Formats: sequence, C-alpha cells, structure tokens
Amino acid sequence: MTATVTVPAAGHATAVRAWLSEHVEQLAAFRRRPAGGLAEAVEHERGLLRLLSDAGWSRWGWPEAAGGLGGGPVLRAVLYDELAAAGLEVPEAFVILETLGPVLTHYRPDLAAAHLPGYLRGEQMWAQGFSEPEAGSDLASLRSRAQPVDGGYRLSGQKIWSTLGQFADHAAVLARTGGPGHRGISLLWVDLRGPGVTVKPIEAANGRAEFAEMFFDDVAVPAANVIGEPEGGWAVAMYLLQFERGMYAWLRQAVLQRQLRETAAVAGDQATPATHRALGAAYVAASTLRARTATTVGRLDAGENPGAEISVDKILLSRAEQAVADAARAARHLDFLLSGEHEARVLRETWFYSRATSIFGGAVEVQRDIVADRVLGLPRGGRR
Amino acid sequence: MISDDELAMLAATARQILTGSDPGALVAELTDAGIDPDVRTAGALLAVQGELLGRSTLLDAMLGGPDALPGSRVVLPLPGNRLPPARTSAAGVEVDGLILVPEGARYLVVHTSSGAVAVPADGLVLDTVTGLDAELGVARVRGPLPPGTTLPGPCWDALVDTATIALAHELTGVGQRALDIALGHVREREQFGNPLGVLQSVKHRLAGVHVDLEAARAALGALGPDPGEIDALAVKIAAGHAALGAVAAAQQLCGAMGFTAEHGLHRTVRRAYLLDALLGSAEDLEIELGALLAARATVPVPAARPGGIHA
Repeated sequence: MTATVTVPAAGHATAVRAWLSEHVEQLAAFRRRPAGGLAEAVEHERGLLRLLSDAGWSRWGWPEAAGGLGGGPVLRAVLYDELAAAGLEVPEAFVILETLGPVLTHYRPDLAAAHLPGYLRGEQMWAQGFSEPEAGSDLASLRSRAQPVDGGYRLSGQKIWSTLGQFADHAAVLARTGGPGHRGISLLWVDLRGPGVTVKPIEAANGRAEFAEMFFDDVAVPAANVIGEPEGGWAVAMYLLQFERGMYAWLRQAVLQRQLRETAAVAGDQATPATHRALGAAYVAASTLRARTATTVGRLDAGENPGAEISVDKILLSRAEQAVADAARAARHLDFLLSGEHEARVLRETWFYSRATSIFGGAVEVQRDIVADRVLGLPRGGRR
Repeated sequence: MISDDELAMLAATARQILTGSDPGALVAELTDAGIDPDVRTAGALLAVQGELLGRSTLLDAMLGGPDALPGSRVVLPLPGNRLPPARTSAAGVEVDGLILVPEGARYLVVHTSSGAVAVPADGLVLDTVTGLDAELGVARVRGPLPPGTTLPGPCWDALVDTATIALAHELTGVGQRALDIALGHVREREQFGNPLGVLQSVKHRLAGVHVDLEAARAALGALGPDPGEIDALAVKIAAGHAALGAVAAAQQLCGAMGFTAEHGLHRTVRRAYLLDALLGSAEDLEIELGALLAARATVPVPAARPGGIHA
C-alpha cells in the first residue's frame, strides 16, 4: 500500500491555474476542436494529453505505483474543472479514463502500472466493452461468451457503443464465463490488436462516429487478464459505475460551464424571452449538477461508495447536458438550422450528443427505478 | 460557525418550537442561546420551518441584523416583485408590500431604492391577508411613508438576495413535506391488489421530485460565504420548481383523499405557491436570470468545488 499524498484541493487548483495561464500560448491550439473529422480530433488531443502528463498535472490523483503522483480523485476533478475554466477542450480520453482507470488501479494495480502511464501520455487508448445489441440498460442479460479453456478463455460475441473504440488498443470486456444472470459474468482485459478482433465505427445521428462496435471471434484471452475475480465481473462493473456516474458527471459539468459561458456571450440583446428562459434554466441545471457532483467527488475521494444515490447525479447530468444544449440551440437558432460552418456543425453535434446522455450508462428511466426502489424505498413487485 | 452536531440539535429544538403557535419563539430562543444565525444555520432552520408549515420572525431577524429595533419587521415587496416595496413619485413615497408576522410588530423597516427607514407599525395600514394561504398570516402594508428613523446597513440589493436564499431553503422544506405525504400515501393505499407505490409511473414521478429537491438542497448547501444575485436567483428557481413539482405530484398521487380538507395536503400546496411567488416565481426568475446572464455575456462558475468551497 502506497502512502497517500495529501494535497489540499484549493492549493492544487491554484497551481494548475497558474501553470495553465503561464502556458497559454502553447495551449492555444487546444481551445477549439480542430477542423476535420473525429480521427483528426483524437490525434489532436493526444498533444494536450502529452503536455499535461509531462508537466505532471494529469498524473496527480493516480497512485504512484501506477505512474501517478499520488493523491485522491479530487485532484483529477480539479484538473478537469480548471481545463474547462481556462477555455480548453477537456480531452475525451479523460472520460474513458474515469470509467476504466479506477477499476484497473483498484483491482489490477499491475495492469494499471503497465498501461496507465502510456494512456496519460496519449500513447494508448482503451475502450469499454459493456453494452451489446441485446443488452443495453439491462446489462445482466449480456450474451458475449468467454469459454474457459486451459490457461484462459476463448471470447466470442459482439459489443457496441464503445466510446472511440475504433482508436483503442485495449478494451475491458464484460463476458459470460458462467451461468445466466449477473453472477456468471467476468470482466476481461482484451488486446484489440490481436487476432479475431474486428472494430467498426458507428456513424451517429450527429454525423460523428464517436462510438464503435467490437466483434470477437474466438479470441484468446489469458487467465491473467481477468479484472477482479472470475465470475466477479458484476461487482467490478458496479465499482466502476460510481466513478462513471460521479467523476464523469463532474468532468462533464466543467465542460457544460464552458459551453454556457459561450452561449451567454452570443445570446446578445436580440434574445427572445424563450431564449432567456432556456439560458436561465440551463444555468440552474448546470449549477445544481455542479453542487451535487462536488459533494459526490468529495465522497469518492474519501473512499466512500455513494451507492444508489449516485443515480441522482446521473439524472441531473443528463438534464444539465440537455438544458445547456437547448440554450445553445435557442441562442444560435439560425446557425443551428441553416449554417454549414464548422462552428454550427459542432453546435449540432453537441446538441445531438446531449440527447444520448439520458440513454447511455444506464437510461434515465432505469435511474428513476433505482432512486424509487433503493433511495425512497418504494415497494417492489406488482404490475409495471 | 456552529458544528454539524450543534446544528442538528438546534434543528431539533426548532422543530419543537415551530410546532407551537408563537411566531416570535424561534428568534427568542436563538437570542437567549446567544446565536446570531449565519446563512447556513438559518437555512437549516428555515427548511424545518417549511417542512412543518410553520412561521417565525427568523427572516426579519436575518434581514434586520443584530442591531434591529425590537419588534421590527422588514416589509417585503408584493409577490412576483423584487423591487423595494416603497416607490417614490411626485406625490411622495408610497408603500405597498407584505410583512410575514404582523403579531408583535412595533416597527416596519421600509426600503426605498435609496435606503431604509424604520417607521412605527401604526404609521401604515396593516391588513391581515386572507387569500390563498391564510395560515401563513401575512399582512399587507400600505400607505404614504410616514416619518421615521433612517437606518444604516445594507441596501435592498444585498438584502433581497439574502431573503431570496432564505425563501429557497423554506421551499425545500415545504417540498419535502409534500413528498413525504405522497410517499406515505402510495405505500399504504392499495388499488388493484397492490400498494400504488409498486407502479412504475408513480415511482418515476416521485423519484423525479426527490431528484429536484436534492438538486435544490445541493445548490443551497454549496453557496459560498458571500453569494450574489445570480446564486440567489438560481437557488430560488431550483427550490421553487422542486416545491411546486412536489405539491403537484402529491396532489395527483394522493388522489381523491388528497382533495379533502381533512387530509391537509392543501396546506403544503398553499404554502408552496405563496413562497414561490414571493420575490419572484421560479418561472419568472428563469427568464430574469437568463436575461441577466445574456446582458453580462458570461456566466460565473458557481462556488461549489470538491473538497470544499474556495476561490
């Protein structure tokens, strides 16, 4: 067990902010998504990842044994907040990192030590292989099969909605290694460059291919690549969810604050009362999300698992994403409707993306079920 | 600042006091205990007040400060309005506003756009309001401003934000009361052979109410030491929507039983609508907040940060 480095969050924020303002020219290129496609954007953000890793900022909040500089998740939260506050695009890689990074450092420090430093430098990417065509919010019904064989498993099946999966080197794949239900599932670390793996991007409604599907055809996975216990994949997935719903929500709120600033700057005098209302509602949604997730990140940092209550954060996140995107749409409605310019395309992509936020990571309806059953304690069973 | 434990004890004491009938008792208790309630303390007590549908002079004490004349009541603008309650015209200064607790009022603190004066309570016409929420017992204050003592202290713009935040705290309490009533009903009430609470449409509506209340409480809990106008508007909007959503859900889900006078749910409905309207309803303030942000052409980052609030 490595000694925990205690770094006060406030001092850390000041230090990050100072570095960002000292390097404002070097960082100028990362204030905007580059023209061109998604591949260009992914390549582009590797440059920012490299800068942040070399300067050490993205290594704070990760264990020293995994190439980090120590300290708790709150230091990562500070970085995301300050990047957005400085007007920078928060790299999408951090989103994926916040789902898989905590799982690797917690369950497989050796894998974390091998892969995290390269990830932080922008040299490798990972993907999450959870959802399937027939298993979305009902994840426990997944069908991908990892047949136990001598020395490991043979994995076959299909995964879908893996964020930036087409750029990934490795994936954490939930597959059935035992019987039906959530007890027969294991989480496997799979090399996507190996034989039998096919990854295809999916063009989304917004014209971007941010998600991919992954096909596994009798792929050999060594026994050493199980994350957590064999057949213990569900517990690992639940551990992951608290970070996906807590840290990820905090990261996104930082991005939303930035989007709101940009919307307020262009709303102008011509805005209608409906636009003002959309902007006011978006501010309320984003500021309540920020307040809520600040507390949650504090709890995660203290090693607490917020449990079912984290579904509140998830619901507030999708609400804020959609409210902020609607305010941007209202403030720039002519561009939204008529313009073919790069900025207008980004506006539309962002708006379409916001519609997905109440679906992925467990649809908002499922989150309401969880709040009703496990937070409010309403009776289960009966007719639906 | 008092500790979390002390605050919990104080809230428990307030719970007893606020079930009584003397609206001056809570502030008297605080004065006896030597507590000058900060925003956090007052917020916790006002949430209890909202939950109990109680009433007190706590808001007057907060706005008046420690040097307030005994028995002074701050005149609030009429519902839907955030401007000072006294308007200056060629004919003089005319007052039209509300005080929350007419009992025991000796001085009325009247704000104009340029300052505040304390006038004797009998210098203006006080009419007890018997409108939507007679139980709240507010009085309408009207008439030409009589001579009084000019008060130092904060201007209306500073006070109105404090009052707005205070009302937001109280609204979360009212909303929680309505949610608790609805939860109790859907757990007990059986139809089609099951408690109503097993139905997903019922669950989702109440989960939504809980989420809204949690959001409002989180925003209130994350306010920095010196919240500004934007913060005040945001928490009032969040709390107003949450409380109105809670009473609307409770009115629907308690069914015909909730429609009876005996059930008592209507008390939360009355309180929620009146408190929401005071200093601007959530619906109106949403537009006002958006216009303010558009005029500033930027958005301040709220104070909340993980690991505590800091600059």
